[in-house]
Amino acid sequence: MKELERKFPKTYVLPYQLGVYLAVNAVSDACLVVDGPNCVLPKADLLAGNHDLNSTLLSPLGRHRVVCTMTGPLPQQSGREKKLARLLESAAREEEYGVVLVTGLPFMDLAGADYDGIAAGIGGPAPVAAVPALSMEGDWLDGYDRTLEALVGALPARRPARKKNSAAVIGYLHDRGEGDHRANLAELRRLLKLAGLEPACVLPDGGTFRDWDRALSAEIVVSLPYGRRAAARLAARTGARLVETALPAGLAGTTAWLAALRRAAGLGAPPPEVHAAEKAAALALSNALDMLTHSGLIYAGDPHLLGAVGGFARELGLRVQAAFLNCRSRRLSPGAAAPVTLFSPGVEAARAAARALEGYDRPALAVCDSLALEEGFAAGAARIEFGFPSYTRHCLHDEPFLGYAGAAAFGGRLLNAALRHGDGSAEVRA
Amino acid sequence: MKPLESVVFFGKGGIGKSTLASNLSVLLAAGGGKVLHVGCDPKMDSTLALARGRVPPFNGSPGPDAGERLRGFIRPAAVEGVHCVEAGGPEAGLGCAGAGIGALLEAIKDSAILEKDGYTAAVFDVLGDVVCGGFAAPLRRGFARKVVIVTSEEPLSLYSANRLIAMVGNYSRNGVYLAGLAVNLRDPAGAAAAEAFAAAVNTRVLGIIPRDPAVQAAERLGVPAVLHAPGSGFAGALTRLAGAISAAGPRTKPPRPLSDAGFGLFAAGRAVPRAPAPGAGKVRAGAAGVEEAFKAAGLTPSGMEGEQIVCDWDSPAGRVKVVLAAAGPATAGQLLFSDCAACLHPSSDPGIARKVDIMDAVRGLTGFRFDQLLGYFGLGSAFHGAVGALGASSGFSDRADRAGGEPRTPHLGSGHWYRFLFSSGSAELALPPDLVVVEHGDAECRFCDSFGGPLGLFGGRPGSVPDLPKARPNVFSTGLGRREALLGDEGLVKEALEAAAASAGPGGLVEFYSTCAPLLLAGDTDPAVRAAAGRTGAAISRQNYNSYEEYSESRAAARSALILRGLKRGRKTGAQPRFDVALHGYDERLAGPLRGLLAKAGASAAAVTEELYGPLLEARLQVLRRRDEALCPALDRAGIPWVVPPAPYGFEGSKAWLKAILKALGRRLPAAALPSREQAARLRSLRALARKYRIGLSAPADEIGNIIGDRLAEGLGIAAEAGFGFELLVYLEDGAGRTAALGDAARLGRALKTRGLRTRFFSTPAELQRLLSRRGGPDLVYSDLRRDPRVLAAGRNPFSSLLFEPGYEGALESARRLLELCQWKFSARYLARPSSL
Repeated sequence: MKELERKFPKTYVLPYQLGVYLAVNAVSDACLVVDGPNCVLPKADLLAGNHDLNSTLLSPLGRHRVVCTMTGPLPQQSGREKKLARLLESAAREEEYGVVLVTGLPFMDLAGADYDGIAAGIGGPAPVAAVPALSMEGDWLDGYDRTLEALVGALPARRPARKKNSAAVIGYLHDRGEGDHRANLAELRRLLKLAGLEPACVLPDGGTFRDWDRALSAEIVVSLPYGRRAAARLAARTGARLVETALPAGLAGTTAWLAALRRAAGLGAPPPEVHAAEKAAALALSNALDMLTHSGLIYAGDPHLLGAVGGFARELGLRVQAAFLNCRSRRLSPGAAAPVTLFSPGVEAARAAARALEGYDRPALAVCDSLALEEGFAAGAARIEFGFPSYTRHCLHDEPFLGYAGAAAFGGRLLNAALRHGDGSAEVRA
Repeated sequence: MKPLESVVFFGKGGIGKSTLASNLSVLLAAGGGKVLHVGCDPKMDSTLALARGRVPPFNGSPGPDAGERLRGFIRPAAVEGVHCVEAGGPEAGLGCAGAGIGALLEAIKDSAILEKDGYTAAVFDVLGDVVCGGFAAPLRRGFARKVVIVTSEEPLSLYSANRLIAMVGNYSRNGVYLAGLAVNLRDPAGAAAAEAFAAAVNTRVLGIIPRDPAVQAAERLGVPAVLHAPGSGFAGALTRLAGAISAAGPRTKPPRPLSDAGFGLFAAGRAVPRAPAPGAGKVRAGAAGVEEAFKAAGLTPSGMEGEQIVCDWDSPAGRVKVVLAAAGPATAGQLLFSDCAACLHPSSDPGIARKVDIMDAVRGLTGFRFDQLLGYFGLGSAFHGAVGALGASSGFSDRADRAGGEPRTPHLGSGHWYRFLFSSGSAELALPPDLVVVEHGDAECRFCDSFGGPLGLFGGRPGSVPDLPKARPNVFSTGLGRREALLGDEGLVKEALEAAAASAGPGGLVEFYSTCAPLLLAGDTDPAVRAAAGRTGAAISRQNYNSYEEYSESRAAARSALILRGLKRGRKTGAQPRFDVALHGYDERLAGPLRGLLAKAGASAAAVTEELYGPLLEARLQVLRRRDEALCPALDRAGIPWVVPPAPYGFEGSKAWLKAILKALGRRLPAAALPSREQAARLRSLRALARKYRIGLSAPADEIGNIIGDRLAEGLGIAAEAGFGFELLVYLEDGAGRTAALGDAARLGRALKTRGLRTRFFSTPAELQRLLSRRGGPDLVYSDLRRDPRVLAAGRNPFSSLLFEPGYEGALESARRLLELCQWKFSARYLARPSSL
């Protein structure tokens, strides 16, 4: 079995379509038609009711927002595209859907399915757009970005008057409709105002596709890492100024984000209120620092949160010892890489790398998603379940992790996990 | 800014497409333009003359970020203003060349290189015969606008052109149009035939290219003929062709390909009947409702079989069944109308069938498209009805679907409501350690199964969480990627099978599942299977799709033989039974209390483990939760006794479970293994409280019988013992079947040993909602959907079999939980809605 595991390891990576589903989950009136058999549907189960208690992807009334065509590889039926077009037409006529997306399994891509052309030919009350079927080369982050891009492409052609200093934040990873994201969205809007900008929208935000129209009037498009393509497409279409940023996380990270936005808006350096907010958040954390400093941290999750967590960890005097990333190899933001950084590692390789951190390098904290924790990446460190997916931690109340408010809240999570672990009361499953 | 000129050349293999396309690129650049010449043929010969050598294929090294990598594969031609790129492709007979073309074009689109690098024209030269959608990729949005079909005057070439015209028509939605035909004449007298064909299909001849020795001379030198012999007849003809292509716009009346029969007439020199004008078959707008039309026609839709509508037809000769389907190629006995086909159902009485004319049945439906007829099953929701008809919901489907396409009833399935009770998940108990399961599939396939979730269809329990899939060490995915799709998956299959077979070892078994993409690629796995099996001595069983949870006959037999070999091996080591029983199919939550129960009866039980052979050899009796089609025959052949006892729920059920096991062990049930007096007293107390509450069960009439014997009934025995009443809410489409349903309900009542089973009927979701929410309605409602909103909206509490615990103490705890739920008012106070449907 060892040889088998070496050659064909169970890898820590999430598939393209899961990202597509996440984006569809984040737009409450979006419907996704997946061209393929019903084996595509269990992926919706990984979100609805498991990661996202408030998901509406699946409906007990049968009005799912993810459906499939039951198309198999053999034989490829004649008139298949016409049937699909009819199905999409009928979806576009459904009142409950504000937008209809179509994509296919990889074999349909191999068969040359022209989803873009089919979608473009459909007229209906709701727009229909195609998400390219890139499962064979892309991962869940690609799927999420491509879906947001398709949604931007489905926005109405009209271009409303631009509002001065209004900013649309595009590419937020709204992976569930729970309190963590509700609070993040509120914090992002607060930050935009703090920067002297008018928040046009943060997308996706769990609202309807009709709300996306607000992005068309923005003067500045703020591109977050999960939606680079979508943001670029929006800016190209509306002529808005595009500013690509990292996630506004931690103290200095949030201030840098605000400064970048103000530069893009031509507003100059951040006003004193920004520094005051930064300082207030720092003070909230300051008395906890001596319980955290000099500790090592293992991170497992997506690469964009690694940049955010890593930057914040350094501010707290922590060091990221190892990072296991649940995606294909891609460029990391400057300074994000840890001494051990593995993209889509085999689970055995990741466990071994975590176990190899010994002595002074032995990590005290493990900031990991559910899957990484279940697979034992935490290597005995205090566990902070974070990122997508989080199956055993839900937020019924507001608890941000971005911005200044998020810094204090997330710092609190790190602190409490470390203290619980220190007195031996934490459950250590790894 | 002048719009980009983009031209794609199609035509029969060997007809001269590459010659025309490459010379056209030269001419387009000669006017000061910048041309990207795109070779879309795995032979990679389109750019030979332009680049004076091989251009490295883009798909030779597939990987992510294709758009970023593309620029490295674009080479300047030896001709000023022309750049070349080749898609490349796999070796002949391997991989998917069409996908390679798609991948290159996706990269062109993704990088926006045509716009960013200031190209004024793009010329796509596509492999001879378009055999799949991949080869038509240049006709997708954002690429070619004009299609030039290269043909000769010969019939086979024109036949190919005729089919290509049909393909271009399919892509007209993308703004693509047929510019016309470029005729590479074989016979100088053949121009008339080509012109006649063009007229027959309503297109034009853009240019006639005469045979010219200058072309062969240029090809020998490896240079474009228009440069090698600019004064030749070929160069002159091509210049005129280039002008005609530039000038060509879409025609008011689009080209219409000939039918096969029509082409036969054309080739024979006979008159071709005019094809019907587009729109001639258009359906009536504003026709009466589908429901009324069905009624008027005397048709009663009785359900769906696959994608077909099945109707009862009261014909003048008697009642028969009629099948309506989307029209494909007509087959014997089918009548085509609108876009539908109709025929008598095979089950129809042949005596009546001979006497009726199917046209009489469907005359009233001729104004409807098939999707409109499907809308009947969506009751006003065409989309969900259509999805339901496609079986799109069958991943979360009901027992009838899983049984293989039994007629679907309205209200059940996509668009309406799901069943409350789902059959239990995998029937598989045994995953032997010397079995290796190989899923040959892509990253999506790896995530094609999960458990838990709000629909709770995967045997999940509240609190259980998904894990990275293919969790066991002897189950793995090959991770088929773009590289294998483009260049062939033989290498990957070989490596996977060799590793799997080596791991399974001599006498071991490898189950190799091909998923959708490999099936489409149709690679030959035979050599790899033979080689791996020969080298290792492992048996390799091939299956299509990843149907792990369903035993086919051959799969069950192979596994059974494997288990038998494992048992024989184990016996040779001298393993002797040390325990009375081993439990199989009971998870740890159930196994703990059951071991306690067995201990009271003086029976020892082996520890529950994923390891299979140990418990099989360590225990005298194998206790199976359900029959396993691989394990049971192996046990029989090995002479190992096994038993599938009744479910261990409730006092009576637990007693029966123990009795069955002890009987198989040749023992009697001791008094110590009966419920204690104290336990009996607690049950009596609970009964006094429970008698005023009723539990609701909902099922379609034809599935009441299925509740008996299912896991639901297993646990409901507890509720009956504890004195709860029952209310059975039966879905019945119409009055027919009421008597039978009442009979089934009575049987259910007897099975549950309750006299308190009331039965009520409903036929719409709204009626069900009223039954659930009415005063005096059921206090609890069974549903396998976690937090079922239908139940919550009625102000009731849902529960499922996950609530039931085994054994005597488990029975008391289960009854207590049911009672708590009956008294718990959260749903009534906060979640009830007056009308949720």
